[in-house]
Amino acid sequence: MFDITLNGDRIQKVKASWGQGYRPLWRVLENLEPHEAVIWSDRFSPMESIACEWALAMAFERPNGIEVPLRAQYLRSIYAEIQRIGWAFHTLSRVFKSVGHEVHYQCVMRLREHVFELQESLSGSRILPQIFCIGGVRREMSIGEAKKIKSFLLLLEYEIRLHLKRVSQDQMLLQRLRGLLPLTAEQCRQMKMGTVFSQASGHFEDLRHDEGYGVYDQMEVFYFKPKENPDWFDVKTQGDALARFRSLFFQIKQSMSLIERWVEKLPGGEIQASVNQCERLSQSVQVEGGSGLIVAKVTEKKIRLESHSMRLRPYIEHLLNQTLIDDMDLILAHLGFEEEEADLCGD
Amino acid sequence: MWRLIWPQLKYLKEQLSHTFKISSFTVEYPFVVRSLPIGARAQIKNDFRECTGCLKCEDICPTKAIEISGYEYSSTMKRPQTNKGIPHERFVENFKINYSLCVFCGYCVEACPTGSLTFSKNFVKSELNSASLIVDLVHLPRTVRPNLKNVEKLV
Repeated sequence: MFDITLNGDRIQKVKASWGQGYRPLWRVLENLEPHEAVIWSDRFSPMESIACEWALAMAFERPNGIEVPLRAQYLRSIYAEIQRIGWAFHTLSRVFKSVGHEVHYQCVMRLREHVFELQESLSGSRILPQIFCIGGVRREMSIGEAKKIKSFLLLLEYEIRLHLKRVSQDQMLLQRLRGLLPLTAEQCRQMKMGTVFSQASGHFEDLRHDEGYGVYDQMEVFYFKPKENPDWFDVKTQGDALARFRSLFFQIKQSMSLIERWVEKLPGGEIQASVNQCERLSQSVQVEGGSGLIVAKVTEKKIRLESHSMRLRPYIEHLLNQTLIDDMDLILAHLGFEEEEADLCGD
Repeated sequence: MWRLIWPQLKYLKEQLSHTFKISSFTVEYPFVVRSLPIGARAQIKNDFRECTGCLKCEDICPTKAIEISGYEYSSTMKRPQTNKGIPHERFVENFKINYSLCVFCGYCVEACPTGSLTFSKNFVKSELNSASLIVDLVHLPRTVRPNLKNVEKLV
């Protein structure tokens, strides 16, 4: 939430203060066992809950020397990419809403619901999947569910093609987004912004590839080329809202391609490693969420999660100064900002 | 003239095709309730004929949302059994779930050794006060209890 001082329609001073004031999650996490803390962590960022769970699970697994089975790694990566698609649709819907494009907004919200429905059938819950556990995943993927994912991808491919056709021909929308809120590669690096933002600014950095967690190191993530409309995905380095908008579509297509290949190559075996003992040892782990890095820090006494929105706080306050009150939603939407996120960084 | 009319006709054709071909995407809730997929985590239900009263669900609940009260059968008497022949440990008098605390993690269902505790298809729970969110599964309508006729003596 924001405490705003106005001068007419213009914002004079902003102070960002958000989070769960009366029962902060970080306080709850401190009193929980590691396996319980992992399922609680998804409340931190409901649109990137898989990344939160993954970061915290890895922060417990690495120092304890727990090795996750290969099938579980594949399943983790598939779930994470499905949620990345969901996040991209969510962000697109906010972008359309902020520029007042109701038709595209409704279309994207409908697609987002399809993603939620798939997530519900795979994990049991639409928004908070709670699918990870220490040393693997909690739920097996059946052959029927793998088929469901494939048919979902076919449907999404068709819908995306239709949607892309509508959007790419809408000159008024493209004109509105062109030159809006440009971010340089240096700013993206400072704010630890995710692939969508860094790619749009010409600074291509992806932790999934660099860190090599999950099964991302086994796939050629960066060599993905869309077959249709290749010009549309040629983002270049403008760094404005239009470049980010194109980058979002690129990410969706890339995630779809990855899921398709992983479901084909899904190996057999266990989905959980046998965990005898899991202690809280000091560790800091970074995982690539949709909007940016999700950082999990575990010590003996404390568990902390850090997200894109929390790192953006000082920049948001700076950015919103002297803007019109109507533009506030526009700025927040174009930076992939979630003001509903809980604050876990209490001292 | 034709150049002016033709785009309008195309627009009209598209609108009409949408009107007649595409069905509604929305659901008239609560008159039409969507069905949940298998394994969706919603409210839980318990088959008390299969429940042995082992209290594993109560122990594993991370938020302590489950509260079970009852009394143990003595070791000398003949106890009711589940379908697979597992003897009941205790007679469950109350099986309370506080849905204001429950995070729907599903640990209780995973921990149940006999599979008596399952997810129901009911995902709607809205009440005017928090006290109404505490549900006693024993006293729900259509709850079937174990047959106690064969139990010779209760302690």
